[in-house]
Amino acid sequence: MSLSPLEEISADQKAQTTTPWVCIVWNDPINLMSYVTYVFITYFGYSKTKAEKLMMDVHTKGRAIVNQGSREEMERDVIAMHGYGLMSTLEKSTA
Amino acid sequence: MRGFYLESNQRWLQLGEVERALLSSLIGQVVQLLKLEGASTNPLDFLSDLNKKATRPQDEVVFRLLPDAYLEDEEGNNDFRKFTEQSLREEKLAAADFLLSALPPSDDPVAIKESEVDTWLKALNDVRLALGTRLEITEGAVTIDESDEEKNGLLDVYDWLTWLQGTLLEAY
Repeated sequence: MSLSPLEEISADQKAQTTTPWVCIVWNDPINLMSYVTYVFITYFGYSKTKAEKLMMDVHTKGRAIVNQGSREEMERDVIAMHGYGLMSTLEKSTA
Repeated sequence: MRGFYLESNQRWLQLGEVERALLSSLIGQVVQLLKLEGASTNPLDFLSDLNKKATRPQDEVVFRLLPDAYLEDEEGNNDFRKFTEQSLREEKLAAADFLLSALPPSDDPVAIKESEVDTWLKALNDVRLALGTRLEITEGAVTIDESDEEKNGLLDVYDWLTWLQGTLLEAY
């Protein structure tokens, strides 16, 4: 099965207009690792495995992209992360 | 005391008298901070909330509880604050008020509903964030200055809060 060039372009354009923003969670010295994992499971509905991997990324790399979507959606996620007390920002996706 | 624990398929919280008084006082201080920085000096400001310039909180603790949403975008941060800061502040105040009303009245354990766990964790975390920010907690080991009794006392409180939140996460 192959996609026609036209479909490829439209799929690419769709990706650019619908998912150009990301929600980032930053490492901080106060939040407990078990709490950060709890937040990723509870708010995003991620599996324990995925939540723990993201938490370890935050912890070891200093930050992790925890979700992507429209600017409005990512603002909503950042507000929720702030509600949980996590350090979180949104930015345009560079991917 | 036992903190949070699971027994007979039910979640419980047990705190001693000193622990209850301590927690109540700490939550009260967070409430005060959130209310102080949110208080308007002009009684008519509520009429023009959307025109009010939202600025970064002066107090580092309040800034930690109500942080920026963009790394290098002052306008974005101002807009974000203008439209979302007050509701986040109210959410945190409501969670703190709930905890104050839900603290055990005596040494006897009280039952904690599953639907309340999220609020407990959030509000306990806000207290830890507030105290940890004041104490300038960093990733590494905390330097203990034996002569600074007040700071050492607060570090003990911070460790106790970490333990208490941990018992709820463990029982989760």
